[in-house]
Amino acid sequence: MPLPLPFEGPEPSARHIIAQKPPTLLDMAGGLASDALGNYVRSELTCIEFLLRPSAVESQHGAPRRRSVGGAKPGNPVQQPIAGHEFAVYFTWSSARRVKKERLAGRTVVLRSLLESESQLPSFPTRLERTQGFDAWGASHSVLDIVTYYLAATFGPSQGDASWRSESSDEQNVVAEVEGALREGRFRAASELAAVGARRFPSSAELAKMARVLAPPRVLREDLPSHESSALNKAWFDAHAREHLGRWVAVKDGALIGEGASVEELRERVPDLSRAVVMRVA
Amino acid sequence: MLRRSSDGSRFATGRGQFLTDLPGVAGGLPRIFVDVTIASARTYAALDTGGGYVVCDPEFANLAMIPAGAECVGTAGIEVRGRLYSGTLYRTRMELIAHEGSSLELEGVAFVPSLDAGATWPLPPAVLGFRGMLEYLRFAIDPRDESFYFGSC
Repeated sequence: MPLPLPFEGPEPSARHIIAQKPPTLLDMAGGLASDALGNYVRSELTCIEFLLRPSAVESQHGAPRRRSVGGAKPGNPVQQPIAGHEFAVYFTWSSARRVKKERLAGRTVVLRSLLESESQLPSFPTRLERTQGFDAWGASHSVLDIVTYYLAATFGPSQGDASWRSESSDEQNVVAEVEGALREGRFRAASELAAVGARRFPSSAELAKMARVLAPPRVLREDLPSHESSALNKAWFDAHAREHLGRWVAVKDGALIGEGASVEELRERVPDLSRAVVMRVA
Repeated sequence: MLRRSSDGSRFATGRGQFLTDLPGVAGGLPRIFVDVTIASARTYAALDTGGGYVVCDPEFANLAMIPAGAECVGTAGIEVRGRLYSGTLYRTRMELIAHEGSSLELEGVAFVPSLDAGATWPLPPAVLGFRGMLEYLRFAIDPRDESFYFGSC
């Protein structure tokens, strides 16, 4: 049975598909697909976009007349099975005009150089692990793999392939994915997965906690007073730290107030360590 | 003096002073140490542009009372000098201490490794990593006067 088209018109883009799907189906797959695009935007100053057309429509109507959402000319399509159905997938990429570029200085531009030619996209074994924010998926998947995965999941449990469903919609699997990313030191991936998972499963206390703990840093106050003691303490360490090799020291207002072989010993000797700089000189 | 961007806005809201060449620390490798408070304890934290989060010596974390008062997720892994350490991630507060301007309080993730009995942590008491921490701030180093500029972005 052919896959019922989740969209109308000759040129569905991923963005349009996502926009037309109910939020419940988008939380995980669509959210991740958006994040994937967003990561390109953030890391490359470039937004990769893709157009999907069922192959049957493709053969009947020919190539898309209109250009992509971003205005660039689509390259040659790749015939790609998604959820058991053949699709023609066009890739293109365009500038991310609305991104605050000042926040992006220093981001990697690896992908931009790799994807210099659109015609290379379908066959180029592009890996995303070298781009910021893709460490969860990039180690073993190509661009096409990732886009395919997200879009297949976006088609939802009613039409999607069972294996896609189980990977994308089960709460415990998401928890396990976050835990796996943490164990492997892929912290950013864990943070993103937890955030998306918490939106997808709002009743999950575990995912909510993961999302809170792993969220990016947040500035709470930037008007706290300066500390005059800072220069005094620095002067003490510059002059005397060498005399206390192997020890934990506590320095307050430019003076040593205690030392010990361990924090515990230091604390026994100096119960009040408030405002003191505590450092191990070894 | 706090630096300004080309459009006149302040690049940094605070300036701290950093230490280098602390004897015996980090195997003698030159590091930049900045004045911070993590949870309830103050220390000099090493900057690590190749690292992630804030990584705390378990002894120091205990002093700072991180495990007592923070929400956590475990188990995470971090590789240090070729060895994988497991530990717990805590959501905790920290303060970048300014000598001039304003100090900055933020909330972020601290990794506290679980060590075998008798083992010692090979890194300084606290390490500020780029990924997941410094990458969300503005910061700059001026080695001429050992200044560490910082601000939100």
